[in-house]
Amino acid sequence: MDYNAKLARNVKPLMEYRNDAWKCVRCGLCRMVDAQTIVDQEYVDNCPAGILNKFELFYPAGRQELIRCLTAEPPEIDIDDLSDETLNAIFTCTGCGNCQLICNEMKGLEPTNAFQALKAWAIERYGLKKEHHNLIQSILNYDNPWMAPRSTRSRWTRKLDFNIKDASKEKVDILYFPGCNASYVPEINLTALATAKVLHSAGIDFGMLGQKERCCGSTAFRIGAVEMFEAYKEENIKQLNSLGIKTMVTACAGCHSTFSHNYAGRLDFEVVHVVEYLERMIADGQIEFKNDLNLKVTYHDPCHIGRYSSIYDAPRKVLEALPGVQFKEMKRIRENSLCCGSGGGVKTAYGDMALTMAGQRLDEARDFADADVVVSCCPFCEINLGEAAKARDDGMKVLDLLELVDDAMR
Amino acid sequence: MDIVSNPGINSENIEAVVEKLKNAIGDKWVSKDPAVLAAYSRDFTISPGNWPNVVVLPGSTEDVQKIIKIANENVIPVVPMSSGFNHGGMCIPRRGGIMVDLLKRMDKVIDVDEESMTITIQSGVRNAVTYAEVNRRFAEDSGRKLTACLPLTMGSASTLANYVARGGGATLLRHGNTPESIVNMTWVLPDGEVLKTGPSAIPNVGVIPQPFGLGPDIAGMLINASGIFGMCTEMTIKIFPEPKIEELMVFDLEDPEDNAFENVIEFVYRVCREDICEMVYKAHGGTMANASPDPEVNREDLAESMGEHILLAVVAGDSEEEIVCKAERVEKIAIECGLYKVLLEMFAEAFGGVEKLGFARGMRTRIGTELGRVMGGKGSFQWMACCPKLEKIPAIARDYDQLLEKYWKPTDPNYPRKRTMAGTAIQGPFQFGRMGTLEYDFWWDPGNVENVKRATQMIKKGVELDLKHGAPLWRNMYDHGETHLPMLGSYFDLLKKTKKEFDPNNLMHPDIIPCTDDYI
Repeated sequence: MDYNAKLARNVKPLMEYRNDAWKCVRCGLCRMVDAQTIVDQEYVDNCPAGILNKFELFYPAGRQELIRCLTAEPPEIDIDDLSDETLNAIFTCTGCGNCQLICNEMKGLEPTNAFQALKAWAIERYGLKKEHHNLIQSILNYDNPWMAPRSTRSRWTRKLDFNIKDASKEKVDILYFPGCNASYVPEINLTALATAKVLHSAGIDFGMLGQKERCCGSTAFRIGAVEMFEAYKEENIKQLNSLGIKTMVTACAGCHSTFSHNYAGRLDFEVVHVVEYLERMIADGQIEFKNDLNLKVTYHDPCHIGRYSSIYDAPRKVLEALPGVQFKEMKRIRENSLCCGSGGGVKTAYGDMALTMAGQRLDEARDFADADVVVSCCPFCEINLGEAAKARDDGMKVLDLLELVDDAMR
Repeated sequence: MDIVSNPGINSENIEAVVEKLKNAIGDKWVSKDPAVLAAYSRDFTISPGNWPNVVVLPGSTEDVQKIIKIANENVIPVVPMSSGFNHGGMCIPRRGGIMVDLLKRMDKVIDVDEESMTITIQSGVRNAVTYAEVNRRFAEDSGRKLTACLPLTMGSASTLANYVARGGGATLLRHGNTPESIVNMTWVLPDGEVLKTGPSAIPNVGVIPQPFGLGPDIAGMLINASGIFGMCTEMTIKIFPEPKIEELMVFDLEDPEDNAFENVIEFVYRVCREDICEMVYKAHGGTMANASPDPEVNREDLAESMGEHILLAVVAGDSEEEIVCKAERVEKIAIECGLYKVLLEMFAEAFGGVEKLGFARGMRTRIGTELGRVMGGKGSFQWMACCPKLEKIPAIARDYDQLLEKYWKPTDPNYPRKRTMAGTAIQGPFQFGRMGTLEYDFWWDPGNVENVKRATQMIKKGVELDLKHGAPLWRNMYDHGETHLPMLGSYFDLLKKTKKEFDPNNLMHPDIIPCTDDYI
């Protein structure tokens, strides 16, 4: 199994991480960026929950100790009486994967997976966090986490001046899967529009599922509702495999990661993030840029196409191909990217924490990369960073890479 | 977990302490949540864990003063911790009490001073950051890398704690051990008062990279004291220029059975006397095999191919000519000592190419991941070290080998000893004298009760072995004090008196050093 698959899909019951918890040597490298890359004390720590809460329990080594105590025989902590603080330590993990990237290489442990198992264990014993109730209920009732009716899922397509094939009725090789955020969140609708327009302009013959599209289940899985996710995904597998498509293209890092890793081996088609597709199209000359953008941009690596799937070069190559774009990196990039703070259900349950992390990321974009625009390829990052940018009111913008591509093509 | 009794440890008093602490440093930075406490109860060594009663995260020296004053008022133990990555229970709160986490909020590099060639750091600054900040502020101007004397450990470990705990500065042993590079320190004493040591104690002096000459040097008493005389919150240490070029040389033994250690120590002694090596490190095949970054590599084969006693020598200088000249001389000495040079290409592939053999540099610069892989074997890792005369090393090492034969057993039958770090290491250079450091390493599985028992026996027998051969320990480690301190006669008596005078209620990290009448 390759490394990325280990990070994303191999979540076992909590008891199976017991020995790993014993083997954690508390070295603390997992809370930092790769120590070899450090050049400045301002950009060292890389564990969102730890950065903001500081107590050891909120860092990976502390959580490992918690797992050790909970799985000891007898348990060293009363497992029926965990405090709110302890539950916060469990549920503030964004699942960014930094700890696992560092630790798996050196000690072979899988802390991110273990913390995912810890969330699932906590939900089994204590139930869902109340802030997550509506989200899960919404997925079960409406096939999206936004409490929005199915009938409005493809409303955004009304703004297009061309029709998209209905993949449930018409055979297509390529399925564009916008995902719930791009379908329902007005700011992220722009990504869906841009993606559709870019694919159309490049002459790609693609279809969509429209109102029949269902949530990939990523949100449920990341907050720890693993059982619910496993049942839900079976329906998706049946539906998607029945379409006879060859490729699924998505512009959502969460959907991409979930279909690539959590559905691995079960889908009869390849799953591609649209930036990979764009990179190919640019290289093949299928896309022509006409508009000079005149922007100073930096790129924020989303955890779910970065550490989870190693898609680092494609978005950078696309950015570099855009006319009038001055691209400068932040300090924490690629494998060392700082999570925006919204993953793992943190945005829903701990909104302030998510926004504070996003603010720190924007500080890095401004101070280190001197950027006016933070570009990303993940709707979750864009919602969170965008909200933080609005609150700052300093002119910083957060955009999806597809929006820039679409602008440059006009 | 049982908490050893202490007069101040009762629920009423602890509640009072928690309230006072919250008022003193802020609600947000105080916790007595069981899971929070558990996260500070254990380290990776065989030391038995124990829980603190409350954890605090100070943000300044003033906060630490307030905490210690509250500890005194309420007669409750107080224990310092920074990264907590040590070699033997040095941050375990043996009697419970207040755990002071000095890493998380006191993590700033305060100053890098080009004139005095020093860096001033808080307690939470980690090795990788120390190294990075020194170079960020200097390298562009001078075109030369600089470094503090950083230890042979992770980039995530606290630099200040390593210096206070008499860490081995493997990167720059040629400049002495870490305490010899300390310029200024700021301590909070057991009564909560601040003590400044070094030139900064004198008004208007600032940072000069030499100890001052007023009266006896009481700073030495604070080193290796494991927090029994106070907590160090800031430190100024010397930094040194690094040579511009360096080259790794690897040697193996002609006759590994008979005179392996004698040959190695003769080599170490001679290259140190001639001052031609930046670093000498006698490892064993298991160390190197575990260090390979390639997850697919067959480490057993790799260890086998490297031999039991592999020796790394780093020659360094400012020009290619200097390197060639030194390398030729080192090789000549090696041959005369019965060693032969190993072609790097022989095992470069296992390390991802010759350029990756910067392993040696990784060890020297201490910035983490290269050595980190050495910790990547199965289970945990226990380290012991002593500083014997060179001629004693062969006998000690052979006795240690017998201990390993007796006590080391893999929990995984497919994990042979050759793949582990179980063995001895010798490092240098020291200046001229016939002295080296000898390190014993072994793996153990902390989740396996039988294995834990064996590891505990290994430690005890290892201490006996040191004593038998007259090899002093490098630093405080798991319970070594019980066997070593009583041997010191009047030195030990003075230590006990001083502790009593400084900390009459024995609140500063009690029992970490057995020098009180109520030691448990």
